[in-house]
Amino acid sequence: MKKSPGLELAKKKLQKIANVVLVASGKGGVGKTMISSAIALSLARMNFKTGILDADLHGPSLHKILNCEFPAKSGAEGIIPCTIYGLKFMSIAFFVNENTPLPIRGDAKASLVRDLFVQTDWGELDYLVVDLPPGTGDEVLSLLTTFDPKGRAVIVSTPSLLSISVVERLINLLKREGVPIIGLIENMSYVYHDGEKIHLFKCSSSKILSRKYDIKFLGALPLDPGVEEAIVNGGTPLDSKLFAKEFRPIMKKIIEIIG
Amino acid sequence: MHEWSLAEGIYRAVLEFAESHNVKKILEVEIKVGELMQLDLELMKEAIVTLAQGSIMEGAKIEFSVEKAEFRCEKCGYEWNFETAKKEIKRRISKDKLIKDEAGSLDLPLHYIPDLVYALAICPRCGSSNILVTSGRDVKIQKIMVKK
Repeated sequence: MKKSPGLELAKKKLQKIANVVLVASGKGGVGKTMISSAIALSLARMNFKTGILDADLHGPSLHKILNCEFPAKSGAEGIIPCTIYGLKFMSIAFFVNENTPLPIRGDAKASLVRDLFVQTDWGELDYLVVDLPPGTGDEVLSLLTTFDPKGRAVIVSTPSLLSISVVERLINLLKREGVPIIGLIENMSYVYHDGEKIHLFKCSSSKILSRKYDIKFLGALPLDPGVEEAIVNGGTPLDSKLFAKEFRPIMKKIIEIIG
Repeated sequence: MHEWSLAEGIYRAVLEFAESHNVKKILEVEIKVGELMQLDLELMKEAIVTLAQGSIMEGAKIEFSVEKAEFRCEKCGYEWNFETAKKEIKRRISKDKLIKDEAGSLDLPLHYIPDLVYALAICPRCGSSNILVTSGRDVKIQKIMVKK
Protein backbone atom coordinates (compact mmCIF):
# COMPACT_ATOMS: atom_id res chain seq x y z
CA MET A 1 0.00 0.00 0.00
CA LYS A 2 1.58 3.29 -1.12
CA LYS A 3 0.83 6.43 0.88
CA SER A 4 0.82 9.83 -0.75
CA PRO A 5 3.83 12.15 -0.25
CA GLY A 6 1.34 14.83 0.90
CA LEU A 7 0.03 12.67 3.73
CA GLU A 8 3.58 11.82 4.80
CA LEU A 9 4.45 15.51 4.90
CA ALA A 10 1.34 16.18 6.98
CA LYS A 11 2.48 13.54 9.45
CA LYS A 12 5.82 15.30 9.75
CA LYS A 13 4.19 18.71 10.33
CA LEU A 14 1.90 17.19 12.94
CA GLN A 15 4.89 16.05 14.99
CA LYS A 16 5.44 19.66 16.01
CA ILE A 17 1.79 20.29 16.90
CA ALA A 18 0.58 19.00 20.25
CA ASN A 19 -3.21 19.33 19.80
CA VAL A 20 -5.58 19.89 16.92
CA VAL A 21 -9.06 21.26 17.60
CA LEU A 22 -11.41 20.71 14.65
CA VAL A 23 -14.38 23.07 14.77
CA ALA A 24 -17.17 21.47 12.75
CA SER A 25 -20.83 22.01 11.95
CA GLY A 26 -23.41 20.14 9.95
CA LYS A 27 -24.84 23.29 8.40
CA GLY A 28 -23.34 26.58 7.31
CA GLY A 29 -24.23 29.89 8.92
CA VAL A 30 -24.21 28.66 12.50
CA GLY A 31 -21.30 30.86 13.62
CA LYS A 32 -18.59 28.21 13.39
CA THR A 33 -15.93 30.62 12.12
CA MET A 34 -16.66 33.12 14.86
CA ILE A 35 -16.43 30.36 17.50
CA SER A 36 -13.22 28.98 15.93
CA SER A 37 -11.65 32.42 16.19
CA ALA A 38 -12.84 32.79 19.80
CA ILE A 39 -11.30 29.42 20.76
CA ALA A 40 -7.98 30.27 19.07
CA LEU A 41 -7.85 33.80 20.50
CA SER A 42 -8.63 32.49 24.00
CA LEU A 43 -5.82 29.91 23.71
CA ALA A 44 -3.37 32.58 22.53
CA ARG A 45 -4.39 34.82 25.45
CA MET A 46 -3.54 31.93 27.77
CA ASN A 47 -0.04 32.07 26.23
CA PHE A 48 -0.38 28.83 24.31
CA LYS A 49 1.41 28.78 20.97
CA THR A 50 -1.62 28.69 18.72
CA GLY A 51 -2.34 28.50 15.02
CA ILE A 52 -5.62 28.71 13.15
CA LEU A 53 -6.40 27.33 9.69
CA ASP A 54 -9.42 28.49 7.71
CA ALA A 55 -10.33 25.29 5.87
CA ASP A 56 -13.45 26.72 4.28
CA LEU A 57 -12.36 26.74 0.64
CA HIS A 58 -15.50 28.11 -0.96
CA GLY A 59 -16.35 30.76 1.58
CA PRO A 60 -13.35 31.74 3.69
CA SER A 61 -14.24 34.49 6.15
CA LEU A 62 -11.82 34.16 9.04
CA HIS A 63 -9.54 36.79 7.45
CA LYS A 64 -12.40 39.27 7.83
CA ILE A 65 -12.51 38.57 11.56
CA LEU A 66 -8.76 38.48 12.15
CA ASN A 67 -8.01 41.20 9.61
CA CYS A 68 -4.28 40.66 9.25
CA GLU A 69 -1.73 41.31 6.57
CA PHE A 70 -0.35 38.25 4.80
CA PRO A 71 3.43 38.50 4.37
CA ALA A 72 3.40 36.56 1.03
CA LYS A 73 6.80 35.02 1.75
CA SER A 74 8.15 31.52 2.00
CA GLY A 75 11.09 30.07 3.91
CA ALA A 76 12.75 26.71 4.40
CA GLU A 77 9.72 25.32 6.26
CA GLY A 78 7.06 26.60 3.90
CA ILE A 79 4.83 29.63 3.43
CA ILE A 80 5.05 32.13 6.29
CA PRO A 81 1.59 32.48 7.83
CA CYS A 82 0.05 35.76 8.83
CA THR A 83 0.57 36.54 12.53
CA ILE A 84 -1.99 38.46 14.54
CA TYR A 85 -3.03 38.57 18.23
CA GLY A 86 -0.30 35.98 18.85
CA LEU A 87 -1.93 33.58 16.37
CA LYS A 88 -0.44 32.06 13.23
CA PHE A 89 -3.14 32.13 10.61
CA MET A 90 -3.53 30.64 7.13
CA SER A 91 -6.38 30.83 4.63
CA ILE A 92 -7.00 30.28 0.92
CA ALA A 93 -8.15 33.91 0.88
CA PHE A 94 -4.50 35.02 0.93
CA PHE A 95 -3.87 33.54 -2.52
CA VAL A 96 -6.81 34.79 -4.53
CA ASN A 97 -8.10 38.24 -5.34
CA GLU A 98 -10.85 39.41 -2.99
CA ASN A 99 -14.37 38.47 -4.15
CA THR A 100 -13.00 36.01 -6.72
CA PRO A 101 -15.21 32.90 -6.96
CA LEU A 102 -13.66 29.71 -5.59
CA PRO A 103 -15.14 26.94 -7.76
CA ILE A 104 -12.87 24.13 -6.62
CA ARG A 105 -13.68 20.59 -7.69
CA GLY A 106 -14.20 17.65 -5.35
CA ASP A 107 -10.94 15.72 -5.48
CA ALA A 108 -8.94 18.95 -5.78
CA LYS A 109 -10.54 20.20 -2.55
CA ALA A 110 -9.19 17.24 -0.62
CA SER A 111 -5.59 17.84 -1.71
CA LEU A 112 -5.81 21.64 -1.69
CA VAL A 113 -6.92 21.84 1.92
CA ARG A 114 -4.22 19.39 2.98
CA ASP A 115 -1.59 21.38 1.07
CA LEU A 116 -2.79 24.54 2.77
CA PHE A 117 -1.83 22.91 6.08
CA VAL A 118 1.30 21.13 4.85
CA GLN A 119 2.83 24.06 2.96
CA THR A 120 2.50 26.46 5.91
CA ASP A 121 5.37 27.07 8.30
CA TRP A 122 3.48 26.62 11.60
CA GLY A 123 6.59 25.99 13.66
CA GLU A 124 5.90 24.39 17.03
CA LEU A 125 2.35 24.77 18.27
CA ASP A 126 0.49 23.82 21.43
CA TYR A 127 -2.79 24.08 19.54
CA LEU A 128 -3.90 24.26 15.95
CA VAL A 129 -7.56 25.26 15.60
CA VAL A 130 -9.11 24.25 12.28
CA ASP A 131 -12.23 26.00 11.07
CA LEU A 132 -13.73 23.18 8.98
CA PRO A 133 -16.15 23.89 6.15
CA PRO A 134 -19.78 22.99 6.88
CA GLY A 135 -21.00 19.50 6.09
CA THR A 136 -19.19 16.26 5.47
CA GLY A 137 -17.63 16.76 2.03
CA ASP A 138 -14.24 15.97 0.51
CA GLU A 139 -12.22 18.55 2.40
CA VAL A 140 -13.67 17.51 5.77
CA LEU A 141 -12.87 13.86 5.08
CA SER A 142 -9.39 14.77 3.91
CA LEU A 143 -8.67 16.79 7.05
CA LEU A 144 -10.01 14.13 9.43
CA THR A 145 -7.40 11.78 7.92
CA THR A 146 -4.67 14.43 7.78
CA PHE A 147 -5.02 15.27 11.48
CA ASP A 148 -5.46 11.72 12.70
CA PRO A 149 -4.75 10.89 15.55
CA LYS A 150 -4.41 14.38 17.05
CA GLY A 151 -7.67 15.91 15.84
CA ARG A 152 -10.51 16.35 18.33
CA ALA A 153 -13.77 17.97 17.39
CA VAL A 154 -15.93 20.75 18.77
CA ILE A 155 -19.35 20.71 17.13
CA VAL A 156 -21.25 23.95 16.65
CA SER A 157 -24.99 23.90 16.15
CA THR A 158 -28.10 26.00 16.72
CA PRO A 159 -31.21 25.11 18.74
CA SER A 160 -33.31 24.60 15.58
CA LEU A 161 -34.82 21.14 15.23
CA LEU A 162 -34.07 21.35 11.50
CA SER A 163 -30.37 21.01 12.29
CA ILE A 164 -30.76 17.67 14.10
CA SER A 165 -30.40 15.35 11.12
CA VAL A 166 -27.37 17.17 9.62
CA VAL A 167 -25.58 17.34 12.96
CA GLU A 168 -26.34 13.65 13.49
CA ARG A 169 -24.67 12.85 10.16
CA LEU A 170 -21.62 14.80 11.26
CA ILE A 171 -21.51 13.09 14.68
CA ASN A 172 -21.76 9.68 13.01
CA LEU A 173 -18.99 10.54 10.55
CA LEU A 174 -16.70 11.69 13.37
CA LYS A 175 -17.43 8.49 15.30
CA ARG A 176 -16.86 6.32 12.23
CA GLU A 177 -13.51 8.03 11.56
CA GLY A 178 -12.53 7.67 15.21
CA VAL A 179 -12.32 11.41 15.90
CA PRO A 180 -12.92 12.13 19.60
CA ILE A 181 -15.60 14.75 20.20
CA ILE A 182 -14.74 17.40 22.81
CA GLY A 183 -18.32 18.59 22.98
CA LEU A 184 -21.14 20.53 21.44
CA ILE A 185 -21.76 24.29 21.52
CA GLU A 186 -25.18 25.72 20.83
CA ASN A 187 -24.86 29.08 19.12
CA MET A 188 -27.63 31.67 18.50
CA SER A 189 -29.45 30.09 21.41
CA TYR A 190 -30.97 33.23 22.90
CA VAL A 191 -30.99 37.01 22.78
CA TYR A 192 -31.03 39.65 25.46
CA HIS A 193 -33.80 42.24 25.27
CA ASP A 194 -33.92 44.97 27.92
CA GLY A 195 -31.78 42.76 30.12
CA GLU A 196 -34.12 39.80 29.76
CA LYS A 197 -32.81 36.54 28.31
CA ILE A 198 -35.17 35.32 25.59
CA HIS A 199 -34.76 31.82 24.16
CA LEU A 200 -35.44 31.84 20.43
CA PHE A 201 -36.61 28.24 20.22
CA LYS A 202 -38.88 26.20 22.46
CA CYS A 203 -36.43 23.36 22.81
CA SER A 204 -32.75 22.75 22.21
CA SER A 205 -31.74 20.29 19.51
CA SER A 206 -28.16 20.43 20.76
CA LYS A 207 -29.16 19.20 24.21
CA ILE A 208 -31.24 16.42 22.65
CA LEU A 209 -28.25 15.33 20.55
CA SER A 210 -25.72 15.57 23.35
CA ARG A 211 -27.93 13.26 25.45
CA LYS A 212 -28.60 10.86 22.59
CA TYR A 213 -24.93 10.49 21.63
CA ASP A 214 -23.44 11.00 25.08
CA ILE A 215 -21.53 14.10 23.99
CA LYS A 216 -20.66 16.82 26.46
CA PHE A 217 -22.86 19.91 26.11
CA LEU A 218 -20.30 22.71 26.42
CA GLY A 219 -22.82 25.52 26.66
CA ALA A 220 -25.05 27.94 24.81
CA LEU A 221 -24.16 31.29 23.29
CA PRO A 222 -26.34 34.29 22.49
CA LEU A 223 -27.08 35.87 19.15
CA ASP A 224 -25.05 38.97 19.92
CA PRO A 225 -24.95 41.97 17.53
CA GLY A 226 -22.03 43.21 19.66
CA VAL A 227 -19.78 40.61 18.00
CA GLU A 228 -20.36 42.04 14.52
CA GLU A 229 -19.92 45.56 15.89
CA ALA A 230 -16.59 44.58 17.47
CA ILE A 231 -15.35 43.07 14.19
CA VAL A 232 -16.48 46.05 12.10
CA ASN A 233 -14.58 48.29 14.52
CA GLY A 234 -11.38 46.30 13.99
CA GLY A 235 -11.71 44.06 17.04
CA THR A 236 -12.45 40.39 17.59
CA PRO A 237 -15.49 38.50 18.93
CA LEU A 238 -13.88 38.55 22.38
CA ASP A 239 -14.15 42.36 22.38
CA SER A 240 -17.90 42.01 22.79
CA LYS A 241 -18.36 42.04 26.55
CA LEU A 242 -21.52 39.92 26.40
CA PHE A 243 -20.02 37.30 24.10
CA ALA A 244 -16.75 37.16 26.05
CA LYS A 245 -18.63 36.68 29.33
CA GLU A 246 -20.81 33.87 27.97
CA PHE A 247 -17.95 32.21 26.10
CA ARG A 248 -15.60 32.08 29.12
CA PRO A 249 -17.23 29.07 30.88
CA ILE A 250 -17.36 27.19 27.54
CA MET A 251 -13.67 27.79 26.96
CA LYS A 252 -12.94 26.66 30.51
CA LYS A 253 -14.71 23.35 29.81
CA ILE A 254 -12.82 22.93 26.51
CA ILE A 255 -9.49 23.47 28.28
CA GLU A 256 -10.44 21.01 31.03
CA ILE A 257 -11.15 18.38 28.39
CA ILE A 258 -8.23 18.97 26.02
CA GLY A 259 -5.73 19.67 28.78
CA MET B 1 12.88 25.10 -0.99
CA HIS B 2 9.45 23.70 -1.78
CA GLU B 3 11.26 20.87 -3.62
CA TRP B 4 12.92 19.83 -0.37
CA SER B 5 9.66 19.43 1.47
CA LEU B 6 8.14 17.43 -1.38
CA ALA B 7 11.28 15.32 -1.62
CA GLU B 8 10.92 14.53 2.05
CA GLY B 9 7.29 13.50 1.55
CA ILE B 10 8.37 11.13 -1.24
CA TYR B 11 11.28 9.76 0.79
CA ARG B 12 9.05 9.08 3.80
CA ALA B 13 6.33 7.47 1.66
CA VAL B 14 8.88 5.17 -0.02
CA LEU B 15 10.44 4.18 3.29
CA GLU B 16 7.06 3.47 4.85
CA PHE B 17 6.20 1.27 1.89
CA ALA B 18 9.53 -0.53 2.26
CA GLU B 19 9.07 -1.06 6.01
CA SER B 20 5.61 -2.52 5.58
CA HIS B 21 6.88 -4.95 2.92
CA ASN B 22 10.08 -6.12 4.65
CA VAL B 23 12.25 -4.63 1.93
CA LYS B 24 16.03 -4.83 2.35
CA LYS B 25 17.07 -2.42 -0.38
CA ILE B 26 15.36 0.05 -2.65
CA LEU B 27 16.80 -0.11 -6.15
CA GLU B 28 14.77 2.37 -8.13
CA VAL B 29 12.00 4.91 -7.61
CA GLU B 30 9.99 6.30 -10.49
CA ILE B 31 8.13 9.53 -9.80
CA LYS B 32 5.54 11.19 -11.99
CA VAL B 33 5.45 14.96 -11.57
CA GLY B 34 2.60 17.09 -12.83
CA GLU B 35 3.69 20.17 -14.78
CA LEU B 36 1.40 22.25 -12.56
CA MET B 37 3.76 21.67 -9.63
CA GLN B 38 6.50 23.71 -11.42
CA LEU B 39 9.26 21.76 -9.73
CA ASP B 40 12.99 22.01 -10.25
CA LEU B 41 13.66 18.30 -10.85
CA GLU B 42 17.43 18.57 -10.44
CA LEU B 43 16.97 20.13 -7.02
CA MET B 44 14.33 17.56 -6.16
CA LYS B 45 16.63 14.68 -7.12
CA GLU B 46 19.46 16.18 -5.11
CA ALA B 47 17.15 16.48 -2.11
CA ILE B 48 15.95 12.85 -2.34
CA VAL B 49 19.53 11.57 -2.75
CA THR B 50 20.68 13.60 0.28
CA LEU B 51 17.76 12.43 2.42
CA ALA B 52 18.34 8.82 1.40
CA GLN B 53 21.96 8.75 2.56
CA GLY B 54 22.47 6.05 5.20
CA SER B 55 19.06 4.48 4.53
CA ILE B 56 18.01 1.45 2.48
CA MET B 57 17.21 3.93 -0.26
CA GLU B 58 20.82 5.12 -0.61
CA GLY B 59 22.10 4.66 -4.13
CA ALA B 60 18.63 4.02 -5.57
CA LYS B 61 18.05 5.24 -9.11
CA ILE B 62 15.66 8.19 -9.06
CA GLU B 63 13.69 8.69 -12.25
CA PHE B 64 11.24 11.47 -13.02
CA SER B 65 8.66 11.78 -15.73
CA VAL B 66 6.78 15.02 -16.27
CA GLU B 67 3.12 14.88 -17.12
CA LYS B 68 2.00 17.91 -19.11
CA ALA B 69 -0.82 19.90 -17.57
CA GLU B 70 -3.87 20.10 -19.80
CA PHE B 71 -7.06 22.04 -19.33
CA ARG B 72 -10.56 21.74 -20.75
CA CYS B 73 -13.51 24.09 -20.45
CA GLU B 74 -16.67 22.21 -19.52
CA LYS B 75 -18.78 25.07 -20.85
CA CYS B 76 -17.40 25.67 -24.36
CA GLY B 77 -15.15 22.63 -24.84
CA TYR B 78 -11.95 24.64 -25.47
CA GLU B 79 -8.66 22.94 -24.53
CA TRP B 80 -5.40 24.67 -23.60
CA ASN B 81 -2.01 24.08 -22.02
CA PHE B 82 -0.23 25.29 -18.90
CA GLU B 83 1.68 28.09 -20.63
CA THR B 84 -1.59 29.67 -21.74
CA ALA B 85 -3.15 29.11 -18.31
CA LYS B 86 -0.15 30.67 -16.56
CA LYS B 87 -0.19 33.72 -18.82
CA GLU B 88 -3.88 34.24 -18.11
CA ILE B 89 -3.42 33.80 -14.33
CA LYS B 90 -0.45 36.18 -14.23
CA ARG B 91 -2.43 38.78 -16.11
CA ARG B 92 -5.25 38.78 -13.56
CA ILE B 93 -3.67 37.97 -10.20
CA SER B 94 -2.82 40.86 -7.85
CA LYS B 95 0.90 41.33 -7.29
CA ASP B 96 0.46 40.93 -3.52
CA LYS B 97 -0.69 37.32 -4.05
CA LEU B 98 2.70 36.25 -5.42
CA ILE B 99 4.94 34.46 -2.92
CA LYS B 100 8.49 35.68 -2.47
CA ASP B 101 10.90 32.83 -1.75
CA GLU B 102 14.20 32.97 0.14
CA ALA B 103 16.13 33.82 -3.01
CA GLY B 104 13.78 36.75 -3.62
CA SER B 105 12.00 35.37 -6.67
CA LEU B 106 8.23 35.73 -6.96
CA ASP B 107 6.19 32.56 -7.52
CA LEU B 108 2.55 32.02 -8.30
CA PRO B 109 0.94 30.36 -5.25
CA LEU B 110 0.34 27.35 -7.54
CA HIS B 111 3.97 26.40 -7.00
CA TYR B 112 3.11 25.52 -3.40
CA ILE B 113 -0.54 24.58 -3.72
CA PRO B 114 -1.17 23.35 -7.29
CA ASP B 115 -4.90 22.80 -6.88
CA LEU B 116 -5.35 26.55 -6.38
CA VAL B 117 -5.46 26.47 -10.18
CA TYR B 118 -9.22 25.92 -9.92
CA ALA B 119 -9.56 29.20 -8.07
CA LEU B 120 -7.14 31.11 -10.28
CA ALA B 121 -7.67 29.87 -13.84
CA ILE B 122 -10.52 30.56 -16.23
CA CYS B 123 -11.21 29.46 -19.79
CA PRO B 124 -9.16 31.75 -22.07
CA ARG B 125 -11.87 31.57 -24.72
CA CYS B 126 -15.20 32.03 -22.90
CA GLY B 127 -14.04 33.15 -19.44
CA SER B 128 -15.88 30.38 -17.58
CA SER B 129 -14.64 29.00 -14.26
CA ASN B 130 -16.12 25.62 -15.12
CA ILE B 131 -12.80 24.14 -16.12
CA LEU B 132 -11.15 20.76 -15.67
CA VAL B 133 -7.47 20.03 -15.27
CA THR B 134 -7.38 16.80 -17.22
CA SER B 135 -3.77 15.94 -16.45
CA GLY B 136 -0.54 17.12 -14.82
CA ARG B 137 -1.84 18.15 -11.41
CA ASP B 138 0.07 16.15 -8.84
CA VAL B 139 3.06 14.10 -7.79
CA LYS B 140 2.80 10.33 -7.74
CA ILE B 141 5.22 7.55 -6.93
CA GLN B 142 4.75 5.40 -10.01
CA LYS B 143 7.09 2.50 -9.33
CA ILE B 144 9.35 1.27 -6.55
CA MET B 145 11.84 -1.51 -7.43
CA VAL B 146 13.20 -3.37 -4.44
CA LYS B 147 15.36 -6.24 -3.25
CA LYS B 148 13.77 -8.40 -0.56
